[in-house]
Amino acid sequence: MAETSLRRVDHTAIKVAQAVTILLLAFGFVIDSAIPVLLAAISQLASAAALPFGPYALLYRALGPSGVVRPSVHVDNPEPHRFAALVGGSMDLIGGLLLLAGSTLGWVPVAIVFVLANFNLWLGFCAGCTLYYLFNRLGVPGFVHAPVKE
Amino acid sequence: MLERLLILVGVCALGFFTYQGYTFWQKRRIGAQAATDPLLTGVDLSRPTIVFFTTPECVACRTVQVPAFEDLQQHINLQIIRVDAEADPQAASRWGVFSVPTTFVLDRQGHPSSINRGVAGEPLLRQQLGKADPNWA
Repeated sequence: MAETSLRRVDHTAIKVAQAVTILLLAFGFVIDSAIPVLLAAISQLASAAALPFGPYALLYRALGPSGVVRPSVHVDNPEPHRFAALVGGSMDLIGGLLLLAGSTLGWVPVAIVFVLANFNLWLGFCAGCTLYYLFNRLGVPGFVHAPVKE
Repeated sequence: MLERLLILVGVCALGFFTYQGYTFWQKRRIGAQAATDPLLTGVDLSRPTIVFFTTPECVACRTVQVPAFEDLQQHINLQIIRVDAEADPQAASRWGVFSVPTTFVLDRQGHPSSINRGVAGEPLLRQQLGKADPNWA
């Protein structure tokens, strides 16, 4: 119980990251450029690594004092959310690199991330988190945290 | 660029209307089974009623959604039918629940008037209860 009380996640920060990812991917598609896609990929991978000076972390800190967003910190495991960011960032990186190489197939993984990010933002369904906990139940090495129960 | 913008808008609109259409169909389907659904057996539907799907692992359910219910219950004689989607997967399947929290605001016939996927705050729930019955909000 004491251990779970130390594991906290700011869900607003996650929502902000998802919203910015969606906007970057959409913008990249509209202007037909891999740069916003790669920027989203780098930001997501930085979030996955929990880098304190990752782009999304810096943006969230900048938004905080303005009152635009309000933290929503709850007892939760950060690892599933970081895994989701890792999966999304990896797919965006692959997509971005394909686009840079001139292949329009790069938009396929980007579209998948776009759809799943929207599912998470609007419906609260985190595909990456679901996958993490499935791996945990299956005993896959590295996926050590079970869902936080009440 | 305009062509791509139109494609993006079209895809987003398709997703939005598909979701709205699915929600409409789901409301009708659940409404058709309301009279015989075990969750509503013995429930006094003359009171404002919300069916609340949750799981023990759902952090947002207990830290955000439940407090929203408690805020409402200070002003409204609200009854919450709480369902553990893990313990009762058949109910979750019947009601088309694929994520938690999911809440169904019922009208006096037990038909879902509004469906919320994700957390629904007190103001939104109050508005939806008023839509289900003007006397309830």
